[in-house]
Amino acid sequence: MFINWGLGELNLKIVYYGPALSGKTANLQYIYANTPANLRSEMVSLKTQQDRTLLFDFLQLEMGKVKDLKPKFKLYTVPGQVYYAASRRLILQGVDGVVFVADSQAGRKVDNVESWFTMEQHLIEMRYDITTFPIIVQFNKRDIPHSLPIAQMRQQFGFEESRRCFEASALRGDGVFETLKTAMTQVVAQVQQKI
Amino acid sequence: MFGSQFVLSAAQINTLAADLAPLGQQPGVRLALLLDLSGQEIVYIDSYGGLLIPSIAALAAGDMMATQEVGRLLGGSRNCNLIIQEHEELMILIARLGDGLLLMLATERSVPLGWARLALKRTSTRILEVVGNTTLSLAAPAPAMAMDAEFETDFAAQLNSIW
Repeated sequence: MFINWGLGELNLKIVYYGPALSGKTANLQYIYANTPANLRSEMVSLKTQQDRTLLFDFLQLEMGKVKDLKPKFKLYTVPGQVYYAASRRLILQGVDGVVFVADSQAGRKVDNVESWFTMEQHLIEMRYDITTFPIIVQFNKRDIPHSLPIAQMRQQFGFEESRRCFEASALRGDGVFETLKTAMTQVVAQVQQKI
Repeated sequence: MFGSQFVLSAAQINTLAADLAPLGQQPGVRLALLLDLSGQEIVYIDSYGGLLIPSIAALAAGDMMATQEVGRLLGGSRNCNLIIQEHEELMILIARLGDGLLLMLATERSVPLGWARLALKRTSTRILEVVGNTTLSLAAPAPAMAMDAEFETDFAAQLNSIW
């Protein structure tokens, strides 16, 4: 978070986290493609030759003026591949909220759970209180046949009933903005408590 | 570890902008940018205009963090203090200030490296006098009514009007 009271700017950072190929970049691509050009930056993607995220994807969104303040959100993705653990930790620096993108396919259970626990581990190492820190969960790829039922997805992570999770198909855009808007709202609420 | 709380008053922002201003007056300087390690741009001088500052800030922070990690994997245990990039047409320097800030200077190749390093060092000293050398924290109080109870409602309405 960086607040510039001179310009009335509220700069906030949201990181899309999750296992490889779960759809983090697809979320940002859909947001980029469906946001008015005057409200977004160009999308920056640092990819490998195999089109996988190497360091991060980046997109800035501006919300216009809200009660004399100008909220701006910097959206990042982390690389999902296991061997980019160091990169993921670096991207989480200074994060204000996380969108965890889980893969709904049956065979991805281990990857989902491992990614969740490494995310929690990184946040704890960075001295975030994960009991209050905004972490929004998205179950992506709900359009794929034989995707796991929601109850089983929740069971993977041991989520309490009170935790709200979003169903999505990032490629089609289903649930993408619902997830994003909730993340933004929770991050802003957190900032309100701090200042 | 760098925390995610950095708040500056209008007076502090003006002072920081004034600290950067001499860099912009030097011929051959394309960009002077103060940012934090999480990729947030704070103040900048864009001599040519039209640069994609948020993207540059995100990449500069990523560059410093990646370089730091390379150093760690090579056995280093201390911070990386300065990155110097020599491109065919320009030179880019990224210096670390205190625990959580970065100062980036991009110049034409004709600008002497010695001048650039000295300018970074002098500017860094002045900036740290403004923001302090310790882990950044809530430095400036919020103006009254800046984020009152209505803010959340108005913000939600704004989101719904966009998407």
